[in-house]
Amino acid sequence: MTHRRPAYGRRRQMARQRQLESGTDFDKEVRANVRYEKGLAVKAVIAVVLVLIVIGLRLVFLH
Amino acid sequence: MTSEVITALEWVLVALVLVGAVPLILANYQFLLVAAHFRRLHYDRCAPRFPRTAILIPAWNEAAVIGASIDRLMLLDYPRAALRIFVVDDASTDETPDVIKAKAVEYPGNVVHLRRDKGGEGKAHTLNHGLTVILADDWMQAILIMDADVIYEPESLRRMTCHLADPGVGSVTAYIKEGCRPGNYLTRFIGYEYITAQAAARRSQNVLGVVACLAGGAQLHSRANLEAIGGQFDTCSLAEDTITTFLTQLAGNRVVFEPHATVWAEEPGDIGGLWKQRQRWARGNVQVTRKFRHLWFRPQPGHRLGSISFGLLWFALLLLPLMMICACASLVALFFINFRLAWAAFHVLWIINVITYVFITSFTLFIDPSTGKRVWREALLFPGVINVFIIVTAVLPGPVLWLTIRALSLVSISITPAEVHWLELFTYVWLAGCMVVAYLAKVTETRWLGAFISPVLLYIGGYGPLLCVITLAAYIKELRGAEAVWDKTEKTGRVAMPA
Repeated sequence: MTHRRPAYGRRRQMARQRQLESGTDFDKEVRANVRYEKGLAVKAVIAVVLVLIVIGLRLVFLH
Repeated sequence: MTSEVITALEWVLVALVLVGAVPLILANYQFLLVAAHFRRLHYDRCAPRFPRTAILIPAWNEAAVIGASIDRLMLLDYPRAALRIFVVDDASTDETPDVIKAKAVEYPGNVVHLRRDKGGEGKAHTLNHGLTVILADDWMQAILIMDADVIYEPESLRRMTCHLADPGVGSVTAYIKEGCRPGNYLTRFIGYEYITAQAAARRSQNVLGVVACLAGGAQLHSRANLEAIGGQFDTCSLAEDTITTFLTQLAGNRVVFEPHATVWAEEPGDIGGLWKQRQRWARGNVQVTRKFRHLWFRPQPGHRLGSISFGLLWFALLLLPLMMICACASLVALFFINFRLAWAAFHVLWIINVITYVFITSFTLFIDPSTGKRVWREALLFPGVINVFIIVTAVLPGPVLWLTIRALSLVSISITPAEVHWLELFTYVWLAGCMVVAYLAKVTETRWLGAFISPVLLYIGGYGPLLCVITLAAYIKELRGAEAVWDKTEKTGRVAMPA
């Protein structure tokens, strides 16, 4: 009985699947996502600072 | 009337004016929750997972989009042997069946064409036809339900399936972005709205531990979850996706929003199309509110649908138009009883409005900067030009009035104190009046010069007020018991995913 090698496209996809399942890409992606989400907290602080500036302006022009 | 009665009436009216601030305060609360999202991420219970996934696509006359959607699905960063696309052709009368059959030949074993001979009953019926076939076989371990026009980024599906490594998760949804290219003013408004309604609101729901709705264009279910909720979708309402989301959580399964799984959808390019789509959604929300009336504000173990926070956020959105009309009517009444008190109440309301506008607009643009670059003008004008002018006046009353008087004097117009008085009344009326102008944008769209007048009216009245008036129209239809017709949005294949 002879075993034929899978076609190139299929071999490439199997290699990609092994790579995905190994978790290396996954860990890298998760780290990037967590970084992005932590960045949102900083961006929220910037947005709050903008609000404080606007309130400051309002107080200046109140008098 | 005695002075005590008048004073009591005045304070009741002030309280009703401040009702208008409730949705604003809750919107700020929701966006503050987004900042805490990094503390509630689900990644510690995720792992690379590639369950055998059936992709279910309902299709009625989708020849323009279905081929491209299937091609993009075949480019997913996911083992092809673990993917099967089931397209349920809902008795299409265009070339949809031919396109699907051609794709089934092009991708043998990956594309399955299912045909309903009797169509037009609605999306839920079409989905149920596919679910019956898919569940009859043991092959499927997870199911992705999507719309025919939605384009998936290559890594989006595996970013969703990794959450199914946690057996407690029943469903996962993705971040749907507006993808029409070239877009127009309306799709840019929708692009901005989707950052607030999807990227921001669903992150806050992740923090609260309860998700309001799995996006109809991107909902992934584990087989166990689908079986737990009965294996079929609700066909009695216009919000089958929201009902599925609620049932999933009632069954004790968690729903997760994965913000980094991005998919692109075609959205209406005209107000008429938007009106049909959003009225369907708004009526669906009213139906869901009624169907699950025993849940609201009643915290129970096993799910967070009854939590106070979730209930407040749900009703703030549902009742927003009524709250605005209530605040407007109270301000006008107060103006004729005690105009000084009316001015003070208005001032408080608008300072809260200013805070909300600055915080939400800036934070939203930060959340998705790539979309923000494209839609920042629509973001700034979301409440409408006149509302933005009132907001700026509320912050800088002196300079704005000085500039206005100078500008008017240039064209030989001077304002008398009596006219200032009536201008004040106009700003009060505008709180709800902006909805009328937004509605006129819809009415004029199909009339003479509509292509020019309608966008101008929408920019003046505001996109936010247009959404309010659509919700209001949905209430009226529901109260009248109007027939729940599945008014499908027409898709033309204008979605282009950025490289």
